[in-house]
Amino acid sequence: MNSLPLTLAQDAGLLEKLFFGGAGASPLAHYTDQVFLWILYFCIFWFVLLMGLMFYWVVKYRRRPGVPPQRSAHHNTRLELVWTIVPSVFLGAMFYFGFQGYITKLVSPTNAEVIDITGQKWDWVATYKNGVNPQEKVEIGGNTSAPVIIVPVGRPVQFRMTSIDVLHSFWIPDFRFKFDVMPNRYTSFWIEAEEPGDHWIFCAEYCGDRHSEMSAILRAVPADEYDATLARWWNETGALTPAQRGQRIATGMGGCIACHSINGSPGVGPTWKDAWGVEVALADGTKIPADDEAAWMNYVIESIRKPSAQIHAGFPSPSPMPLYNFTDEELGYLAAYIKSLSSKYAAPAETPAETPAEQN
Amino acid sequence: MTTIPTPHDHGHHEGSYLTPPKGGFFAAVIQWATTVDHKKLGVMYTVAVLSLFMVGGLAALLVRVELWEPTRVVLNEAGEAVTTGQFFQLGKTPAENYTWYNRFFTIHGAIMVFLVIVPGVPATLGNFLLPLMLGAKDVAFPRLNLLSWYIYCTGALFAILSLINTGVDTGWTFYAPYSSSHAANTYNNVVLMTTAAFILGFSSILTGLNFIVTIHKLRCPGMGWFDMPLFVWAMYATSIIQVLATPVIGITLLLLIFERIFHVGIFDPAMGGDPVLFQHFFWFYSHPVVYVMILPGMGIASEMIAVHARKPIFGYRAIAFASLGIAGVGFLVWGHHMFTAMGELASTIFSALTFFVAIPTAVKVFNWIATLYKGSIAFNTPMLYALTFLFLFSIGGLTGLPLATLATDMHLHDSYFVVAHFHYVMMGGTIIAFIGGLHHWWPKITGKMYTEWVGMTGCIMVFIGFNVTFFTQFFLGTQGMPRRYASYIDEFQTLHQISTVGSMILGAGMFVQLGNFLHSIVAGKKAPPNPWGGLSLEWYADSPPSEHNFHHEPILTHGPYDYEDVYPPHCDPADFPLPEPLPAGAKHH
Repeated sequence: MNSLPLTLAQDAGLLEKLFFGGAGASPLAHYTDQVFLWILYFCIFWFVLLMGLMFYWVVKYRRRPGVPPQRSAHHNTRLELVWTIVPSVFLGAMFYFGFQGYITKLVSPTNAEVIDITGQKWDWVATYKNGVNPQEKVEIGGNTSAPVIIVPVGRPVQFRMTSIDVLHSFWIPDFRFKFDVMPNRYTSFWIEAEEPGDHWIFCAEYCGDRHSEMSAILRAVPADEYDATLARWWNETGALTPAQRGQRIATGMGGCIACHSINGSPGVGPTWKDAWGVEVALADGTKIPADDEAAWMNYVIESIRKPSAQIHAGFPSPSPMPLYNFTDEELGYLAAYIKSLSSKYAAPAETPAETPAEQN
Repeated sequence: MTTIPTPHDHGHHEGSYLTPPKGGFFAAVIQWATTVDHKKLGVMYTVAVLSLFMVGGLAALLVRVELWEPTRVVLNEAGEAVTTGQFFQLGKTPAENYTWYNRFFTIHGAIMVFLVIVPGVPATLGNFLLPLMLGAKDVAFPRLNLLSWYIYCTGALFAILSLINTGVDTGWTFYAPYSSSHAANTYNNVVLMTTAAFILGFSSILTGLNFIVTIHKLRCPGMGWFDMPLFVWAMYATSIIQVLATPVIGITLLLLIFERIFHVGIFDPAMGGDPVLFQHFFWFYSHPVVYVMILPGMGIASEMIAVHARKPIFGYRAIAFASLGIAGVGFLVWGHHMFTAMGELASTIFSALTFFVAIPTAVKVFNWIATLYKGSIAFNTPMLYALTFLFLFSIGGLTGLPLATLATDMHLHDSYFVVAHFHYVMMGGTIIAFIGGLHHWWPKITGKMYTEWVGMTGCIMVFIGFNVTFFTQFFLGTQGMPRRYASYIDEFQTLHQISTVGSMILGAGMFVQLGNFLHSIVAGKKAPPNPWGGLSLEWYADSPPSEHNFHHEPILTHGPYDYEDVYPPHCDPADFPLPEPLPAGAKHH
C-alpha cells in the first residue's frame, strides 16, 4: 500500500458519508474514496464556474428592445488553448491515480488467502483453501436468505471467481470493488478487511429473473476465528457419507434442486424423489430399465455430463441444464444422493449442513 | 445579403408542403405514404419517434413505481412465496414481479435506444432541416430516404411483435450467454427483438449515407464547408459514425440469432464460445453510437444558442472539428464499458483513450457558454431548453470522469451511478435538445406557434423532475445500489422514493409539452417565416416551407451566424438592431 501516493483519510468526511454512506472497509477503499472526492472537487469547480458564467451572462445580456448584441471576438486561440490544456492536465492526473488504485486492487499479494467463488443463477458459493464449501446462510428478512462468506481481518484475501452459467459480477460496495464472474474463465481481485463486520455483496451484472436477490454477506472475522472455523468445517464435512456430500453439492454449488425437486413436485427437470431404479422412458423411445444399478449409474452420470444426450420423455430438448465440471468423485456423491431419495433403496439423507450454521 | 430571394419576391404563391392534395382523405394518405419529400418524411418520423418515446417513457414510469418499495417476500399458509405490503407490483408472486420488471426495463431501454434516441434527431429534425439549411430542394437520394422510412417501420414492427409476444428480459444490451442460451425465448421474442435492431440498423446506414452525399454535393452556391450551420456539421459527423459502425451491430446480432436458433457456439462457453466476445462486438458499435445519440443534440444546442443569443458561435471551427474529433476518437473507447471484464493492459489503454474523448466535449461546452458573452439573449422556450441542456449535459459529462477513472469505476460500474450518468447525457443531453429543437423549429415545421408560457412551464417541470429523478441516483450508485434490480435492501428506499416522485414530475412535464404541441396544431397562431430572427437558410423559406423549399435556388452571401452584421430575413430591422458596423478594413477576430 505504500506505493499509493495519496494520504488516506481515517474517518469518513461529510462528503464521503453523503456519497458512500460511510468510510470504506479497507485502505484501498479509502484510497478510492479519496480519488472520487478529488474528482468531485474538480467537477464542482468547473460546474460552478460554467453555470455561474452562464447564469450571470444570461441575466446581464438579456434581450432589451432596441438594444443590439455587442461585438466581441469570434474566437480566441490563446483562450481556447488554455481551456483545452489546463483540464487535460487534470484528466492526466485522474488517469494516473485511477490506474494506481485499480492495479493495486487487482494484482494481489502472493501470500493472499485464496477463496474460490462460484457464481450461479442466483447464488454465490465460496470454497475455502482447505476445500470446504459450507454454504452457510443467514436470513436477510422475509423468506430470503443470503450465503455468508467469511474472510480473516488483516490478512489479504484473493477471490478466484468463475461462473457455471451466465455472466455475474461480484461487487462488495464497502470495499469499492467488483469484478465480472464469467463462465469458463477465472477472474480475481483481492481485499483486506480492516475490522470485523458484515458487508453486502451484490451481483452487478444482469443475470435473469432473480438477479436482484443474488446477494451475499461478506463477514470479516478475526484471523484466529477464521482459521478455527475452517478447521471446524473440515472436521464436520470429513464425517459425511457420500449421499450427504451429494446433498451438499445438489443444494449448494451445484444448484441442482432449483430444477430437480426432491419432494416429487414438478420442475424444469425430472424430480429426484423416488426416481432411482424406476423404469424411465427416453424421448428416443429407449428405456432405462428398473433396478439395474449399472444402467442407472451410467444414465445419471452421462445426463450430468451431457445433459442433452439422453432426454427423459416429456422434458425439453435440448436440455436447458448448464454444463458442470464435476469431478468423478462429485458425480459419485450426486448419484449416491439421488439414490438416497428413493424410498425403495434408503432413507433420505441426514441434513448435516445445518450443524455449522447453528454453532456459529 | 439582399441577393437571397425571399418567397415573396415573385408575387406568386406555391402551396406549402402541408397543403392537402385534391381528392380528399385517401389521396392525402397515399400522398404521404409514397412521398419522397424530406419534409413529409421528417414529419412522419417525428410522429413515430414521439409515439415510441411515449411508450418507452411509460415503461420507465412503471419501473420507477415498482421501485417505490423493495419486494418483501413472505410465505403464505400454503407455503408459497408471496409479496407483502407492496404498494405496486407487476405480478402476483415475487417471481412474476421480477420477470415483468425485467421485461419493462428492457422495453424501456430497447425502445429508447434503438427506436427513439439513435434514429431520433437525424431522422426527424435532420431530415426536415438538412436540405433547408443547405439551400437544397431535397436530400441527395429522396427515394432512398423513403426506403429508410419503411425499413424503420419494419424494424419498429418487429420490436412491437416481440413486445406483444411477452417481451424480452435481456436488457437492451442483449449480453450473451444470457441472451443466447438462457433467456426465455417464448415465441422467439428474443430473436424478434434482435431482428428488429438488425433491421433498424439498415435504416440508420441509409439515412447516414444519404446525409453524407447531400452535404458533399448539395450545398447551395456560395456555401463552403465552414459556412454550414453547426447542426449540419453535427449531422455529418453522426452520419459517418452510422455508416461505419452500424454494420458491426448487424453482424453481432446476426451471430446472436444464429447462436440462439442453431446453437452455433460463438458466445456461450457451454458451446465452446467466448464469454466476453459479445461485449466487445456490441460496444464496438454501441459506443460510437453514443455519439450518434449526442452529436445531433449538440448540433441543435449550437443552433438554439446562437439564434437566441444573437451571437456568432464562439470558436465555430473548434466546434466543427470537435464533432469530427469525437466521431473519430469515439471508435477507440468501447472498452470502457468492460473495465470489470477485461485484462489490465486493455483496461488501462481504454481508460487513457476515454479521457481523450472528454476534451473535445468539454471544449464544446466552453464554446457554447462563451457564445452568450455580450449577446442579446432572448428568454423563451427554446433558449430555456438550451440552458437546461447546458446544465444537464455538463453534469452528465463531468460524472463521466469517475467512470473513466479505473479505481473509481471498479466501484461505480453497473451501479445506479452509471444509470444516472447516462440519463444525464442521453436524456439531459439528447432528448432535452431534441424537445428544445422541436420548439425552436416548430413554427417552421407546422406553420403554427406554440404557446410560450406553457412551453416554459413544461420545460421547468421537466428540469425539476429530471434532476429529482436522476440526481438521487448518483447517491444510490455510490452507496451500492446495482443496476437492473427489481428489489433492493431497505437502506435505499428513501432515495428510491425521491427518485420515483421526480419521475412523476418529469412525466407530467412531458405531457404538458405534448399538450402544448397538440393545442398549437389545432388552435395555434399562424407562424411568421422567421419568428426568432435566424440567419441560416431554413429561415428564408416559408413557414411551413413550400413544396420545393425555396422558390429560387438560394445563393449564400453571409455565414449562418453573422448576427452582428446582417439583418435577419422576413423581420422588422427595428426588432433585431445591429451594433455599429465595423470601420472599413477592420476584420472580425
